Amino acid sequence: MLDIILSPQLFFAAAVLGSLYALIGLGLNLVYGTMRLLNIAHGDIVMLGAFSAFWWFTLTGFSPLLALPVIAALGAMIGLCLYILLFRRQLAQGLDPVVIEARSLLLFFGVSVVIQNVTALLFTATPRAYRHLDEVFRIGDLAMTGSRIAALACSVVLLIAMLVFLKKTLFGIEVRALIQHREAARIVGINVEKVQIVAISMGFGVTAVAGALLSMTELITPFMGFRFTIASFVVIILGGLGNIKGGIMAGFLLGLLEIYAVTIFSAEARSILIYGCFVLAIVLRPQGLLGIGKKA
Amino acid sequence: MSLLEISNLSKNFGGLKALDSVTLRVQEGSTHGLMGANGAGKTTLFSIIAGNQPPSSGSIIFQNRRIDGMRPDKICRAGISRTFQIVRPFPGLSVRENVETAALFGRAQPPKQSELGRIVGDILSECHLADRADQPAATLTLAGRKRLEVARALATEPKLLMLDEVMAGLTPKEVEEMIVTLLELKVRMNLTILIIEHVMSALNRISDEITVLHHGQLIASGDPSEITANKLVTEAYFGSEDNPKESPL
Amino acid sequence: MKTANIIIAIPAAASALYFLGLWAGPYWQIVALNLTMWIALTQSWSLFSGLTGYISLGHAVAYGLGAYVMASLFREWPIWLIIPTGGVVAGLFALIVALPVLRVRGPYFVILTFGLAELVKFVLLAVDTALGQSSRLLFGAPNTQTLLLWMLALAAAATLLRHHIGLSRFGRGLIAIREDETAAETIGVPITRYKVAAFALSTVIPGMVGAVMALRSTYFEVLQVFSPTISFTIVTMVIIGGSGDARGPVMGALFLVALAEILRGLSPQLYLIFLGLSLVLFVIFSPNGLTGLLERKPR
Repeated sequence: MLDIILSPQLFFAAAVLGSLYALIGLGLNLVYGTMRLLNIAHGDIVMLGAFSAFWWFTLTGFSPLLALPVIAALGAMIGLCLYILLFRRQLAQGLDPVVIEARSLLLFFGVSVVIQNVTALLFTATPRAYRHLDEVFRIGDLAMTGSRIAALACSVVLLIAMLVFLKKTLFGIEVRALIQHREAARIVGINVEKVQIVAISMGFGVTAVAGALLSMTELITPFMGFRFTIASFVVIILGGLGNIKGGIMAGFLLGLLEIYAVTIFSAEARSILIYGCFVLAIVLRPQGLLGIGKKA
Repeated sequence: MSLLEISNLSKNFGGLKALDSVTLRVQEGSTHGLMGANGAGKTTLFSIIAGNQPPSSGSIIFQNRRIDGMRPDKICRAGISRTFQIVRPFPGLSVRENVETAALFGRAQPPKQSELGRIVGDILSECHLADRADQPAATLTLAGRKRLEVARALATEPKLLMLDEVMAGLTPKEVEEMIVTLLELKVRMNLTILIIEHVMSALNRISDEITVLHHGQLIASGDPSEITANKLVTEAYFGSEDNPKESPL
Repeated sequence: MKTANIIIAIPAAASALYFLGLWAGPYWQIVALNLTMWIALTQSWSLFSGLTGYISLGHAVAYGLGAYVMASLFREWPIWLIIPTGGVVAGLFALIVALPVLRVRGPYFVILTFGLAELVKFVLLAVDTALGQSSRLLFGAPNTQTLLLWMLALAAAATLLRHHIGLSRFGRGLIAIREDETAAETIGVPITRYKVAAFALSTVIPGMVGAVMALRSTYFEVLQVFSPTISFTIVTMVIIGGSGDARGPVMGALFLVALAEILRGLSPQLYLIFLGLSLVLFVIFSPNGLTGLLERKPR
């Protein structure tokens, strides 16, 4: 048993999955933290990113890595459309945040169903995968496929870039301010509408990229989104709602837990683990289980 | 005799002492005023008496029965009703339905269906809300909502009525109307009243006894004239001559 | 809505549906079965979520548990006994999880119920795998007409229950909880007791519905009966139909079942797409559903 736990192979797999969870959680934190929108369709954005990468590779033969900026832009546009069509008016009206949360939940639910089924209609529900960067690199006992290394590398780079953006740039600081205290941000003169647009675009963009990276390592189907939606909520609750760094750490933690659960127990354990954590996290919230978050 | 006896009541929020060993007696049939700067602990005291929050230590005895830590709905049925500083009507229900709900749940025994209409009708007229009875509560003016808070509390047949800043935000004319209504209600329904108020003139007029809180501690207790003359009280509010303060209100 | 009208309307509608089904043939019997199933589910759901405002996205659990009970006991017990047992099991489960789950409010309650439903699904899946059972075959189940009778009874019961509770003292307490939970408790409503009771009560009929529907196909599968689509459809139907009284769920069910029939020839995905779009449109333009639209007076 011990050699399983200490296996660098598992650790690597956990790192890859964890980095993607961290990225997806970051996306949700940006959307939920700034606007309190409960994005139940979050996992479906991951799915769209995955499908985009798949079709890019299948149709052009070029590496999906080259398409990442395009996929990010695609995700950002989807976010922007949803924002303009569904939420801009409500947010501007200054409705009770609880009402906005509740409505966003239902709206995103509808959106999720539409996205999933449009995709299923267009592409059928057959699971798909593709082979890219298949070469295996070995360091001692550790065998790593090129695709996984690439996924890990890209997500880490993106995570760092986002952290820098949020810390150092003006927009980034404004986003953080909006997350921390909506009313105060407005009062100190932050253009809330503009920052919301930035936040939702980046949130969705980052999530789509995570999906693209994911497609290099996993099977994709139109209905794969649910699992990532739940995972992303687990991540942001564990890390503290709106807590960017907490979310990133929680993402890696979840990746770790999941890989080890699946290895020690079984594949079904993965779903039980994720939903179990989800349920526990919500019931035991609001400080975030890692104790570094804020009250909801 | 004491209807309500609060002994050494304390409440801590983390490191903050919101209430520090407060001891207070409310005589049956009296109107007892509660005064103090914002943050003095008055609403916290109400919350604890009504059961919305538990005390950290101390006891509360109501009609010779310990009630500290009891559930709010049980305390309500035992005979204590409160209004909220920031009014909480049931916005989607009509004025009448608001009062009906209180009558159905807050009394020691729920009324018979046949009596409900009469009970609610009486309370609505006493509180001068009869003309607006079927309006949605959300459409009332602030003064109307304050009356609704009182009406709802009354519908539960309280022996002790706790009013939290029920005059705040009202015009002088509305304040006068509210005072008159309260005095009438007190007599008609045989109430004991515990009232938090910042409007000093109102408080002095209707209180038999006033207790002053400051930073969670009881600093003075007595009849209105004593309190007005009390140096500690004036210092707490206005500062001493050597150390003047801005009005804490 | 007058109680007298309801007491006449329900048996009338039920009989009409039944005889229509008999006359029109098995296909329409199945449509009627679906319609009455959704009515039973939505009325029960509305009893809790409509009145208290705690939107549950997990009622598929009740349905699934009832179906699971039926699949497990099918050959052992008589069917008329298994059906209520399904309801009881669902209700018991609700009672057990009620206290921790109901402490959470607002949208978090919604996603919590959803997560809980999925958790139960995967746990039961694992249990089945461990027991070496992947799916079950139910041979010799009653025909559609009999199932329709059961379902009509359940739909009628659910509607009556929703109507009655909506007007009762218990219902008033639930509504007060929806309007302002703290104020409700302060004026004497025993909020925890009421929430738990309504929650558990709202799962009993869905449990029985699940048990009946398990007999529809000879093939039982955990993943299907615990499908989130069931929860989602219930909510959508009530949003579209309105939740103010017992009429709304009926209208919502009618609307979506009709939609499903119209789109049936096309594809199941198309139906779901319309479902999602309808939900979005109604949330934006008419949060009170169809009944809200009908009652809107010209300003």
